[in-house]
Amino acid sequence: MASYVLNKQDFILEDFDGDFILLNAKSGVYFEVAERAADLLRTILAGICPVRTISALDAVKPDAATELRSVFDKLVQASVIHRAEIETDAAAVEPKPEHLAALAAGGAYIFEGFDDMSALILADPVHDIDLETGRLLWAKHAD
Amino acid sequence: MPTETTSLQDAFAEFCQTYLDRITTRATLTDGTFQAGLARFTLHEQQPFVADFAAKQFVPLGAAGPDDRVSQIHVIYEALPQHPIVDLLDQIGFAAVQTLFADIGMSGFYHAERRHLEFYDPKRRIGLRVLPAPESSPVWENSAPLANFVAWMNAAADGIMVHAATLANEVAGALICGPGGRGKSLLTLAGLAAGLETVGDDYVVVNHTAGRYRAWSCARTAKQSPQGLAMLGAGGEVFRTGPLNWQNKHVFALPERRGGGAVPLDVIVVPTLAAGPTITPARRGAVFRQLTESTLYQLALDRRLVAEFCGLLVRDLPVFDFAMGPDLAANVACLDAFLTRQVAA
Repeated sequence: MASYVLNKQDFILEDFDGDFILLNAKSGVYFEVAERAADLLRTILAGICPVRTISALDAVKPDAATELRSVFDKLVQASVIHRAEIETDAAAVEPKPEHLAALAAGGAYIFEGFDDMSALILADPVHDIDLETGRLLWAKHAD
Repeated sequence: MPTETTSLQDAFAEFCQTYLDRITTRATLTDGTFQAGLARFTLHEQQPFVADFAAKQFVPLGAAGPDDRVSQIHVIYEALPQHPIVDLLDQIGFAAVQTLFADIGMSGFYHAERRHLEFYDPKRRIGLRVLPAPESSPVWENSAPLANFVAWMNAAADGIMVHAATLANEVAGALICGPGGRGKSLLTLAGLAAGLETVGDDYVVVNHTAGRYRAWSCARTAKQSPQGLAMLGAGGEVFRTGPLNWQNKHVFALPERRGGGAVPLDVIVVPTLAAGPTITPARRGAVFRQLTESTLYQLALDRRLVAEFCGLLVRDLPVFDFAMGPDLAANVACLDAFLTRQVAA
């Protein structure tokens, strides 16, 4: 069965104290994934199927499952993760009790996207400088 | 059978290598050999323009004999050739040009309106800048000459040029990062006036060897606005001698570091202008974003390389927010005492 994997071609993943920052190297958009949302991403990175995980969680903690389904949808929508091309043994992608316990622990479900780094990355340092004033034009637009 | 992508890469690589071969066999002025961060390079210019700025900004190494570790940077003033590859560069954006160079193992930059092409081949250690005339050079060339080449050459020497300042006392050193306007440069100059040392107030080269991060100077000058120097009081007078640059800032030489060499990095500090001075632990994720985004802003460096290096740096070193107050001397004293306590701890 196919699980989900990180889109390593486009994203740079950095783990800081258990929370993640993902930078899309092409677009410059970055995402902060923290607390229970980080637990879900960690589960995915471990090769566990998020669909099965959320489904299993739904039986014991439906509120958490709803929140995590929303996080999962956003991860897919932002192309942070995509379906794995290689089929895996179904047993290997089943969530373990410890995964479900971590996700059911409560807390916040933080998945936030920011594009201020995008403005910086896509700003052409030469094009975007006003030759008269030396000021950055994108900064001027932001004023 | 070659794919379309491979054909484009092959054609692009051939264009670049042929251009390098053609230029390196031409007679150009040799303007000296310099050290910038961990990189050494010999500058060859068709007519002297960048040479004056390079001599002020980089450490001259005197006449260098044949040495394959020294990069050769050629600056020529001529129109770009009529070529399908140049046509392609005219049509794609800044980020796509970077990717195109990265795909053939080079670093590069192209400005379509100014017809400014520059690229560096780390395998051959040769760089080429082509501009129609010296007057077409970037406006910041006098205070930050050959900035992309310095970043690319250092990356080839396992050093990453980051947008940050440094300050060190006798026992420890800090990397001071954050976006422009946060007081990095002013804090650095106030630190110098109080007897601390630095290897840069804007960009420095950082590497990791023998279990330590170190920052190296890649610019011998600093810049500061007249208003900023006025805030330094009498301590700022010594810096007011330099000319004003394109940003209306004074440009002046930084004092040589005692004993030369690098500043060891023990902490990362992110200053803000507040009602301090107080130094408190920072969130690593936030520091990573600030260091990465401001570094990626002006340098045509590989994003993945910068992000991954900054990730390691921020994970390995303790990170702090530095809420500075209006009294510069008090800010410096606070940082000085903090650095000493960090090492003692």
